[in-house]
Amino acid sequence: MGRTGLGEFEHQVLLVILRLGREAYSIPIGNELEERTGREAATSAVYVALRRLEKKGLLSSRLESPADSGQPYPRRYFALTEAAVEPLKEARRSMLNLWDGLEPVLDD
Amino acid sequence: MSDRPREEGPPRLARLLLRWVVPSSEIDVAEGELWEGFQVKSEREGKRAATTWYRRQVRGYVLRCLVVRRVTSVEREGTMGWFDDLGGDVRWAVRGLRKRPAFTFVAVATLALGIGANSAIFTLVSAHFFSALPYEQPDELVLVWETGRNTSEVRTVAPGNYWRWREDAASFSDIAAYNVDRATVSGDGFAEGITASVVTPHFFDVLGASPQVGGGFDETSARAADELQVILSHSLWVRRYGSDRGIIGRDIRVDGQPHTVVGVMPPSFRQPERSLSWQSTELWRPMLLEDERDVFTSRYLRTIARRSPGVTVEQAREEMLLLADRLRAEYPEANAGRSTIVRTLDDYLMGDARPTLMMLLAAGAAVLLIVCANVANLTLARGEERRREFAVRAALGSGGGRLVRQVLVEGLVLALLGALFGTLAVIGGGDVLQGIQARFFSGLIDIAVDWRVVALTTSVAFGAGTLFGLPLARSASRPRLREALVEGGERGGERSGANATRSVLIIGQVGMATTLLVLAALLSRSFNELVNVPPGFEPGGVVTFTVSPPSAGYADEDAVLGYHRDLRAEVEAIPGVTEIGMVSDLMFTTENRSTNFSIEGREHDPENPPNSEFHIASPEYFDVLGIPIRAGIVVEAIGDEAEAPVVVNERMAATFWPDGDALGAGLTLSSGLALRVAAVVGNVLDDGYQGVSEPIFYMPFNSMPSRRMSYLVRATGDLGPVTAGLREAVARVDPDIPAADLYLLESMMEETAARPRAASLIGSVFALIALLVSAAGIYGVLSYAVQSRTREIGIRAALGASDNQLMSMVMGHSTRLVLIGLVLGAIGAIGAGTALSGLLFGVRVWDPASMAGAAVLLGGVATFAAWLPARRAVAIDPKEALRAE
Repeated sequence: MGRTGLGEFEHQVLLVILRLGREAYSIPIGNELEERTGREAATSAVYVALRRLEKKGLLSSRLESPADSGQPYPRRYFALTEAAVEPLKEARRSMLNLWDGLEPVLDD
Repeated sequence: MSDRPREEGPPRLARLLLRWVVPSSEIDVAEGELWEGFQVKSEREGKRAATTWYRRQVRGYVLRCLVVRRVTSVEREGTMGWFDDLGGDVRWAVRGLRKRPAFTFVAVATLALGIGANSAIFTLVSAHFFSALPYEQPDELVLVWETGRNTSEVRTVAPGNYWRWREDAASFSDIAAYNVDRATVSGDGFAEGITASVVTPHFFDVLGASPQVGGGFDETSARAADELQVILSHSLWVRRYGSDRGIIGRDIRVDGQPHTVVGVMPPSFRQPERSLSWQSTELWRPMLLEDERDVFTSRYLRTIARRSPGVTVEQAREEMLLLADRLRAEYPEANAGRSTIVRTLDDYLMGDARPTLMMLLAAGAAVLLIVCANVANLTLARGEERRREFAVRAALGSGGGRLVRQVLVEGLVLALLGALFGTLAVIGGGDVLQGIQARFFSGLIDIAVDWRVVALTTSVAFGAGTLFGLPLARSASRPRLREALVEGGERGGERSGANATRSVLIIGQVGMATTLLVLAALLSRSFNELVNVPPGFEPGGVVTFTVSPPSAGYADEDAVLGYHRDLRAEVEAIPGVTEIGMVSDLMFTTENRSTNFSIEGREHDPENPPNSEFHIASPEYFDVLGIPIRAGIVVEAIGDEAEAPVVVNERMAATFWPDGDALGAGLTLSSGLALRVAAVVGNVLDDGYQGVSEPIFYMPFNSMPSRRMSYLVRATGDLGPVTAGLREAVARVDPDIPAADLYLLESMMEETAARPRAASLIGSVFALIALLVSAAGIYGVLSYAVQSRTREIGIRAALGASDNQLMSMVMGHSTRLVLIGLVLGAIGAIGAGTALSGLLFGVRVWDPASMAGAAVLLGGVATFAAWLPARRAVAIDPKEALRAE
């Protein structure tokens, strides 16, 4: 993939966050990833991907303190930014282009 | 934080680790996430599973945070993407290698072998080519010799010439003279014979070295002759005087006389000698040559000079030649026909070892190439399995370049692991390597695994990794999606491209292994030829030692004769001793003396009189060593006869009396001593295996008693007690005189063949490695080929092919490859052998026996390696084979 584009894992993480909506913090993100891809996602991998996407400006985050949530630890919730839309669409386009005409080949 | 659960919480150590790696601004969130995951896991799968999960997650954090921290620092420079991807490639490679432990083990082990061998050789080479000699500005140091009369052979220097050089040669800032001798230190415990040198007082200044403790020689008080001074080597100071700094100014007994210790040299200082470590000088005495300004008759000095800044070696050489012209004119009697030789110290000390080292370097490179071919084959076979993986990844958007990089990164990871283990092995075996260095190459410089070695090894690993990764990278760069995905992995037959690559690799491996084997055979045969040259005497069962009664205590000839008479009597009494002989200069050492003489009834050119080496020997010497007497009788001299009875060797007889009338001929030495030839004896290899027999005559000991004599004692039975008895006998006669250099004559002779032995030994080891690695390679490739042709073989078997037909089908291909490899390897061996001809002795480069031996051995091993998988192919049950998809 191109250097400005999305990595495969980043792509997946963004889609999962979109799916989770307001409940998107790392534990449900990891669970959802596992459920949808069938592969266990290391917490650290998710952690690193989230920070990197935030750094790229594709995610924003808010910190919820223990007092607000009633949990013993603070949680960081993530949401997609406007800037994430175009790269996601682009990733989808290229994936579909790649698959174009190949479905019958693999459907045997 | 105090209300956070602790008792049923995650494992403590893992939590601490997490706190350590995750940035403090993020730790609470990260810890919370893991805690939550832990709770969920705990509920669903139990505490144990949750703990395991938690630990695994923390391991992930440790890896990622350590990598990511570095990556984020790079990111600011805008290259993050690339490095991030590279990190991914490395992780991917490591994961892939861990999934295939057998492959990884074999690949890393062979690479460690190949790269480790190279690393060891680099260590030796680096020491010899790069490490500076342990002197100040060693490049400026040169050795200056005279030549023999009308020859270009190196000769030691007359004091008169040394003085003229020192005063007149503008090319040098200074010249020092020295000479190596032996000395006995006694008092303070047992008497000990050591190598001692006499040096002009400014010797250390020329070398740019100064004592670590105390100072240099004090010329004024040394000249006053009332004080004998010595400087000790660091090793002697530690061994004998317990590193006592108070030794300075104290007297120690050297050769029976008190000498004042004025200094101790640092441990790194070693006299610039070519000899191996066990002969290093351990004591220096000042040599005052002021009284010898006009001595031209005796030549006994070695000289070392420092070039003036800006003067090249060539300029110095030219000036010395001009100076030699002038000295020839000024002192024709002494210098007629003589010139000078200037050689850099570096060349003198290291020049001889370099061809051997270059051979090692080439052999190491060949072994590494074989290893690379092997690992390339392994990865290619793996690559076939991975074609589908590549195709899928390409379909998912990985570009060809990306896949190539992935494959290369895998190769580099393997190679670097191999380099790591190889280098660790070299560091671990440092003592062995230092032993090899000191024993076979040079006692002057120590080896070290330094940055050069590490840098070279790493770049070799990078080169190797790229090299063996290339064939697979090439196939990864052209993933053929449809084929790979549709044809179900194409089990029926192999793709021709990969097949051809593997064939070339096999041919290359066999070829290089053949070359190495032939060379190893040549070197071994050459070594055997060398040590099997008949030495002209029987060394078996002879023990030798050297004694040297000092002038203090043994002032005149009678005292010296008396000492040796007493010692003989003591030695004769030792049980088992059958014969005793004495000689002034032992064979296989380079100590020789020579003299001019005139032959009775002949006219000689006064400028160029006959000259010959001579030894002083007792009459029994020839019997003890079994040196054949060709004519005449070896008689005992009384000592005061008008003409001493002298023994000449065959070469001398043939050189000076070509008509065969040597026996009874009269000679007069330049000292005036009259001799008559009483016997002619066989030639012996006097200067070691590679020397030639020169004219030599033997003076009777009684006519020319020498202080320093080597004893040769033949004994029957166990030589151990005899050796001990000899030491005791020497101590009984005079406790101040040690039995120096007490050896079996045979083992002393072996020492002199050390370097050819090293070449032969190391050559054989490399050839063996090459043989094993290429056998493993052939086996691996053919196993894979058989495996991938299982179905085809099954079909053929089902169609009625006999076992023999199947066998020859599988083996035929490999046999062809091996034959091509053998032929190419033999051609390579001729080329390499020609380059090595300087190291060979008594063997032709084109040696049919070595070639045939190597071909048979390699061919046999290769056939066996091919036969194993072929047998498996034949044993395949056609039904099973056809079912195999």
